[in-house]
Amino acid sequence: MPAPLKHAWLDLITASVVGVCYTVLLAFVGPQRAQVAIVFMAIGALAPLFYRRPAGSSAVVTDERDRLIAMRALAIAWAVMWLFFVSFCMITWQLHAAAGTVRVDVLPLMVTIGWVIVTLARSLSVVVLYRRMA
Amino acid sequence: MKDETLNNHIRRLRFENGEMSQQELADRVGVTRQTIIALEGSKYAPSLLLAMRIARVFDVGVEDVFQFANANGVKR
Repeated sequence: MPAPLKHAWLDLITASVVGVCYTVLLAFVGPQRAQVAIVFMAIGALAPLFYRRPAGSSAVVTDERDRLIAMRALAIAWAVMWLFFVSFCMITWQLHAAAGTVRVDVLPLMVTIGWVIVTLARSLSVVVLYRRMA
Repeated sequence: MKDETLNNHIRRLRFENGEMSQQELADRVGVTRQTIIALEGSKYAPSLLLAMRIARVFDVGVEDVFQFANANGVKR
């Protein structure tokens, strides 16, 4: 399995774990304290291990096909990010319009949920593109 | 554009050149073995540079390795 594909699977697992933990904690401790689930993002720190070249090996770790797939997945994730950001802002505005202000603790909520959604979009795109181009 | 295909003879040329393995060809042209697999399965179109490197390994022209055909089967 190519290193970028392993990285994508790790990101999928990490984002899923963060998303599920956040959703479960939401019911018990509320939206602000539930953000402790972002601690699981640290799993993603394992990703550089996939790109290590075995000692004495001259094999290429990533090549032009991997870079092409990465660029396409990034373009998809960028589009998803903007869709999410605009949607989140509009929905928040509609929900808080009567109050005339938006609570500041909505911002970390946007970052957490946005990270999960964009990471899922990017890593799913990588997995699908590798299946199509393999 | 969708009715155009890029075929190749990489697998045959590998066997004709001392039964070269996919890994060996990948090492010689500077890509991963998975990319060679994708190329042989016509799932990936190489860059011009990669195509020329592959042709050089087999000591043939690029058009002897890759063939471009449209829906009418006209090979170019």
